[in-house]
Parts: sequence; C-alpha cells; structure tokens
Amino acid sequence: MTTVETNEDAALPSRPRSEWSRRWGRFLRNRLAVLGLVIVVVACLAAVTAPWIAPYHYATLGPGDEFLRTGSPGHPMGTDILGRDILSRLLYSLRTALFIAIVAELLSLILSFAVGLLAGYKGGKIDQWLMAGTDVMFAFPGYLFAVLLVAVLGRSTWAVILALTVGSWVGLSRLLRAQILKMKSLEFVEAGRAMGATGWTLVIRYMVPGAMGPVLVSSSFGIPANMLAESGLAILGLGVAPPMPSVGTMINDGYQFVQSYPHLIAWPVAVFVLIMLAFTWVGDGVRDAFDVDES
Amino acid sequence: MPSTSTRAESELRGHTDPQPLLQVNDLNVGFALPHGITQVVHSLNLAVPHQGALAVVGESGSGKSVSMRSLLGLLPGTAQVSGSAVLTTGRGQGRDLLAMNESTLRQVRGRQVGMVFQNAMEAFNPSVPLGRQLTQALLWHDLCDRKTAQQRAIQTLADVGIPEPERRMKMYPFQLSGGMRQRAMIAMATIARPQLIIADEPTTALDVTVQKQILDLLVQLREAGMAMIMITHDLGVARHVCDEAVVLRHGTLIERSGIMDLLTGARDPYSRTLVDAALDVGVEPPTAEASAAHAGAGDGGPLLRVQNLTKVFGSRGGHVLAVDDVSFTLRQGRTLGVVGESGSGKSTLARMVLHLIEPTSGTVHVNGSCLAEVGTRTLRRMRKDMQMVFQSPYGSLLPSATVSENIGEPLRINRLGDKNERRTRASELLRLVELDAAYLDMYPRQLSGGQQQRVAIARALALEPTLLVADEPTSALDASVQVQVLDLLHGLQERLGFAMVLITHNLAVAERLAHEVMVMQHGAVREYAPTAQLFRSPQDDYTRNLLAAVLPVRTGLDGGPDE
Repeated sequence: MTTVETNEDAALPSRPRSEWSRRWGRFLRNRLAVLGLVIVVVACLAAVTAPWIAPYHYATLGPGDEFLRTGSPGHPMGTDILGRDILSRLLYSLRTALFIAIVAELLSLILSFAVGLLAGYKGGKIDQWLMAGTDVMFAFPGYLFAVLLVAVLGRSTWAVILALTVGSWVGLSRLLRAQILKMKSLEFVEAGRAMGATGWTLVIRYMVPGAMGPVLVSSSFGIPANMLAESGLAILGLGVAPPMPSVGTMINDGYQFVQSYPHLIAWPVAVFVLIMLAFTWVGDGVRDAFDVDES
Repeated sequence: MPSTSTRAESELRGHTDPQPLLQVNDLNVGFALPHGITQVVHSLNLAVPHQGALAVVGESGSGKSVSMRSLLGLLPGTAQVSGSAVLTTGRGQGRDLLAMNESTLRQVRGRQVGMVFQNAMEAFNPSVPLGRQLTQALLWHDLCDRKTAQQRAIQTLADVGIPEPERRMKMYPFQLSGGMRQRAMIAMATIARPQLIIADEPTTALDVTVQKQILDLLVQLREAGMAMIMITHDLGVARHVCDEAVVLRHGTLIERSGIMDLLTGARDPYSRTLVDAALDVGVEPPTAEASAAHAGAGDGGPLLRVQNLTKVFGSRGGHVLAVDDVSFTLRQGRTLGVVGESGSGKSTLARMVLHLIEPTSGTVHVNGSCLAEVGTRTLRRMRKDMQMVFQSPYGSLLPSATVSENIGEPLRINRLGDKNERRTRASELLRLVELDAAYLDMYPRQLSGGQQQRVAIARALALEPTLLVADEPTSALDASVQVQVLDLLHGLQERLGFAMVLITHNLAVAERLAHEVMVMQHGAVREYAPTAQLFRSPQDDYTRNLLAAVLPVRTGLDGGPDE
C-alpha cells in the first residue's frame, strides 16, 4: 500500500528552497528585468554619490562657457544658458527625482497599508468609512491636487513628496484591501484562526505575505510614475525650488533653445527615459516572479 | 486476421480487432520546458472497438487526460506529440488524427469525436445562450440549415433528459444547475452524432445522486451505439459505464483488461493497489465498530454538545438557511460522520462547532463551556483543545514556511516553547504521522498531496487537542492515498483518544471511520444513527437515495461480499 508514496519520496528534490529564493530565481530568468535592475542600481548609486562624482556643483556658473556643445573639454555633456555643467545638473536632478519618487512611494505604501489592512480586515463600518474616504480622494484629479498642495506649501522637496503621496496612496490602499479580502477566505488563513491566531498576528503573518505580490508590482511601477509626475510639476514651475535642478526644470529652461541647442534637452530626457524604462522592466520581472504563486 | 476467435473476444483484446474505431499506437506526449522536454506519456497503445467503451483509469498525474486530449489536438503549443491514432469511421479508410492539420482536425472534433469535460461551467461560453452554442456545432460543420439545427438542438436536449428544452435553449449556462449543465454539455458533444465520445471525468464535480443520473445517461448513449472513452479516477464509474479498462501510471500503460477482470483479478500489482484502495459502502471491515468498545470505555461525559444550531446567511438576494436546527452530542474518543451533498450545510456546521463562524442561534458546549459565552481570552485558550484539518492540504498550510515551522505554528501562536523545542516537537509529530524527519526543512509545495495532508494532521495534533474537526480530509487526495490517510486518522484516534467530527460527502469514508453518522440535506438533519444501523437499515428516503447512488467497485462481484 505504501509503494505509491515511497516512489514519490525518491522523486523529491533534496534541496529545499524558500519562496523568496524561488522568486529571485524567476526574476533572474527575465533578462530585461535584470538589465533594468542593473540600470536602476547604477542610477541610484550615481544619485547617492552625486556630490562626489559630479564634476561641478549644480549651481556653479561658467561665465563665458554658455551653450557649450556636447563633448566640450571639461563638460562632457556641454553647458546650459548660464554655463552650468549639464552632466552635473543631471546627476543632481537624478538625486532629487529618485529621492522624491522613492520616498513618496514609501510614504504611500505606509499610508495604504494602514488604510487597506484596516479596511480589509475589520470590514463593516470601518471599511465603509475608509472606502468612502478613498472614493472622495479618487474624485479629485491627482495632478490638480498636487498643484494645489505645492501652491499652498511653497516649492520644496517635501511639498512635492507630499503632493505625490497624496495622489498615489488611494489606488494602492484599494489594492491592498482587495488582496486582504481575498486572503481572508483562503483556507490557510482559516487554519490560522482555528489554531488560535487572532488580530494582527493573523494579518501580518498570514495575510500580508500573500498580499505582497501585487503590491510590490504596483510599487515598482509607482516609482517611475512618481519620477514622471515630479518632472511634470517642475515643468509647470511647481517642482523643487531653483537653483536645485530637476529634469523638469532643465527641460523648461532648455526648450526655448531646442532648435539651436538640442543637447540641453536631449541628455536629461534620454537618461530619464532610460531610467524609467529600467524601473518598468524591473516591475515586469517582479510580476513574473510572483505570477507562478498565484496559479 | 484470426478467424477462430469471436468478434467480442478480439474486441476485448483491442489489438487483434481488424479495424477498431480508434487505434492508438506508440503515442508519446512531452512538454517543452525551459530546461528540456518532460515526457508525460510513454509509447501508449490502446484501441477502442466500434460501439465499445474504454475506461482510462489512473491517479492524478498519470497522463490520462493529456494523452486523450492529445488525440484531438487540444494541448497547448508546447506539447510535442508523436505516434499515430487511426480513427476508422464507417467503411472508409482509417485516418490518422495525429497527422491531421488544424482545419481537418476541426472537421473531426464534434462531428466524429465529441468531448465532454469535467467542468461544464468553464466549457460553455458564459455570454451566449445555450441554443446558439448547440446549433453552432451543427452549422460550423455545415450539417444542416439553421432551422433544422434548431430542431435538432431541442431534440438533443430532450434526449439528454433536460425538461422544457425549448425554454432552456434561450437560457445562459449559469442559469442551469450543475447537473443540467453537464447534461447540456453531453448534448453539445453528441448533437452532431459522433461515433466516439471522450469524457474527461464528466461526473467528478457532481454530487453522487446527480452523478448517477449522468452516468445512466451515458449508458443510454452507449446502448444507442456510441463508443466512449471515459477518463476517470473512480473505478465505480468505470465499472458502471465501461467494459474495458486501461490503467495508466506516470504516463505508462500498466494494464489493459476487461473491467470485471481488472476488479476481480488485476494482474499488475499497481492495478491491484488501485482496486484495493477503492472504498466501497458496506464491505469494509467496520473498523469503527471494532474499536467502539475500546474507545467508549473512557468517561462517558459528552465532550461536545451541540444544541439547536442554526445559521442564516443574509445577502442582498434574501436569506439562506445554511444550517437548520442541528443538535448532537459527541463523547471522548468517538467519531461523528457528517454526510451530505454540496450545499447541505455540513462545512458551515463544522466551522460553527469551532466558532470560526458565529451561529445565528443555538449553542455549542465543549467540555461544558458554551463557546459563545466564554469571552475572547477563554475562547483562545479553548482553541488549543479543538483543532481542524481542512480539505485542501496545500491550501491550508503556510506556503512560505517549512514543514517544521508549519507543524510548530500552533505552538508559536500560543507562545509555547522556543524555536528548538518547537522543532523537536515537530519531528516527534512527523514520526506520529509516519513521515520521515527528512521532510522537516522542506516546503509544503515539495510534498505530495498525501504528505501535505499528513503534515496538516500533525499540525492539528501539535497541541494535543481533545476535539478534531476534519472537513473532507481526503477529498482532494488520490484513492490509494485516501485510504492511508483515513487509516492514519483512525490509528491516531485510537492512540490519542480525541473525538472527531468528520465532514464528508463520501458515504464510504464515513462508514470507515465514524461511530455515528448524521446525514444532512439543505441544512437539516435527515437521519442521525449509529453507523452500522444507518447503513444496514436506513430510515430516511434521502439516505436511501444516497446509498442507492453509490457506485459499487467490488461489491456484487464473484468472490466479493454481497451488497
């Protein structure tokens, strides 16, 4: 009678692998995602070390060096209307953009975790009120809200971060709530309850790990969206305060001269597009890594 | 060609039939994966005679579905199929299905070979009325005009026993009950009057009483001259419909014989294991009875007392009475089997017993304390004494935790012992459920279904509960593993003395383990009696219907005990 199971024993893999190591393995199988990750890591390193690796300070003026072309000695990407080094300004604006995008994403994750878990787990009246709140937030066009916030709070890094957080946490908290609702009906969550787990033990240990997949995917797409929104605000003159550079400001400054000096815009745009693409590829890889779990 | 043997005999052997309806030779199926090809069917040979019925029997993963689907080109693009499958219809020359291109194959599907799937809901297009889906099959093949097609669809629906076929033609698949949908799918498979039907577990998702009706319908089709390939894991189904069987295991043909020969004297040891593992009602040595004296010898006080338990689920569409005034008592070391079809409220009852769902009215007393009144803290302490085993072994384990962590989870939740102590306990428990300690660091997904269920049982026993509620503990398992897990539960109960509420749709499972059986229908108790009495002389009509719908595997055969 035991022959069936004994044979299966022999077929079992000898090396146990945790869920995370398997997900990492699946992520690695997506070439583009790995390339994206490399680009993201390099970009983050460049952003962090910008004060040391940038040839000039972002505000250093270069009298007599205005509008130098790409490839000029000492200014590999050229200089802008005030003779400031474009490479340096780009590195600094990357620093600003990534800082803002990542912090805003983290804040919106924290906020949406709080709201989504509470609404999904508690249900009932609490759920209804919280979701009514998110519905109201949904009704505001996010951009408009951001413009309003920056206008009220003044142009600063934290005003932009706040504006982006406010615009992005709503969808994420809805996603988390839906995930928690789905998890609630799964058998191993019920098993947890039957074993005596209650309250947050149940939520954190049983529901959150299973709910993380879609949330991580959504966040990895959220970061490039934040970067885009940040530069968008900057183009409207609502980004970080000058002389702090931002890709949006660089585009804003450069677009009048784009016909004679395309490099003013080409460099920041190219680098930015590449980094946003890289984030998107990473997001795809993360989705692949979690997809198999679902089925 | 052998002239001496009769046609019937030669058909039975399949090989020697001059021109069987379907002759499959050297069928190989593999799937291309990133790291190479996984072969799932290995040089399979089989034959279906004209008007014959062949059961393809095997456990999950045996390749029975894959091999039959490959014949109609229904596998995904990564599949690599080789060999030949010659279909000989009428007097014409046989044609190899595997050599056909997609458009020729489309001519065969539905018209010469019909296919019935397990899940009728998924096999129908949910957004198209039944009538259109039925007539499409005829119109695609240009078999007749729209009007005739309409008439024939109505006729076919009537033939498969669907009342008011004209009205049903305008209905959508989701408006039919599960049994009706399955009938409708059989209608769709047969409307173009194919000579062969391939039915893939057509009744596995259905309740026993409905299963019987559908199988009887298939038997009628057979009598009308239709040949059939029945893919099934259930030998009772195979015996009811087919006259020949092939046994598959890991994609290899193990045995080919007449169905009765297989059941009475399987030649291959594996086939014998399969036959032995099949549960029959009324033939198992009543293990529960034998141990009754032993288990009942303890103190006679009721461990669990359920009184007038009722649950009403409210929803926008009105109220559903899921459990209706159920009462019972259970003593230490005893097992109550709760039997019912889907929607009978048995799972809701199980969850109310453990207070995972709050009852609308009625009380549950465990060891004299009423669960609804004790308060959260006491309830949490009492949960240690009442544990649950779930239907889906994989679904009820934490996928991200190892076996050892899963088994230690109840201890962790109740803050008992440190990491090392929990691990020690986990390895003890693993030994208790007869698994090797080597599994401690594996993840649930690396285990087979039976092993996972053993781990789930070990976890439920970690706190040494006095009450175990098992909700369909073996329904997701293969037959051979099912018996092992049931025997394990029984043995553990004898050693540890816990009381058990066993929820099952399978009468044979209840008979094997339960001291008393409660039959439920639509939330209400139809019959509640000691096991032997209930099976020997059922008092209620519904119980009798259930018993009558059970398909015997070995009962009534030569050498087997009579019903």
